[in-house]
Amino acid sequence: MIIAERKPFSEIFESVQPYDKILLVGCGTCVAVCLAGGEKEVGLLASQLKLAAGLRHRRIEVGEITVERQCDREFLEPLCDFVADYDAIVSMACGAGVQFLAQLCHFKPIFPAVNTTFIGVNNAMGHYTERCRACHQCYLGLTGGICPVTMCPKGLLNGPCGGMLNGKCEVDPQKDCAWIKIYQRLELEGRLDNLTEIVPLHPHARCTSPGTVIHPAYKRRYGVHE
Amino acid sequence: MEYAQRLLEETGLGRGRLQMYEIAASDAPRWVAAVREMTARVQELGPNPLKRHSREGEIGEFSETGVES
Repeated sequence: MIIAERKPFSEIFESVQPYDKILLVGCGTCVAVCLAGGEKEVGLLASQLKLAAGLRHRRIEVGEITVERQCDREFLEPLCDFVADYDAIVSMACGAGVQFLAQLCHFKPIFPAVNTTFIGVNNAMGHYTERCRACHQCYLGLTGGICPVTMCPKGLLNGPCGGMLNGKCEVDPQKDCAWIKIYQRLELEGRLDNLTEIVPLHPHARCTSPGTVIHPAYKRRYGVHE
Repeated sequence: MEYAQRLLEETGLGRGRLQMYEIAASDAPRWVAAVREMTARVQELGPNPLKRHSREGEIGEFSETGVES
């Protein structure tokens, strides 16, 4: 899922200073799980904004709504009716959600309340780690389910660098070398032969942004040909 | 608890007005001590600045709009 962290309150408050009617829009999927922008966090931020405004002798109106997914037109379009009553929108979704909301409600100023950090996993409550860089070419079948692009700070595809020491990474000695983990995993699975295969250069050209994916079943609908 | 205090600190209210105590139902002396501690702290901090502003007529009631999703 997408992991995000809430921006410092001072930054959010500063961005909405000129407005008296603000709509906070939460997202009920990834950012809700990582406790950054779900319904509960919308409530907390709304309270903070009202308290902070009150302390500065201001009266503001803060609306709260949380949609299932801000990255999905189906859930976002009904929101456009509510937005009309407000001066500004604060989105607590990831960067994709903020941009989609801005696109659909283009006549309102929109401000992000979280910093989107990475695609990761929920290890335990409040503990998230990165697992995927969305690099367009997945090597996990070759590398025992451990991503060298993400887990190796250098993104090496054919074994560890010379800086590995006692199984630890030279970039962060607290962390295991990704390639040692890959070796150990493949050894356990009896698939060490995988390491004799030379992986070609990573197709960085595919990573040119903004990316677009059209499902094969919908290519005719969108006028895309094989 | 610390997180909630931090949220209050960020807004400018200060973290001192919020405290949580774990007190057993039978532990009256501990309860009395906690009440005295908070009373002393609140007297030191002074009145709630939000109420003060409200009394001065500078702001009204906080308006709140909840929209059902």
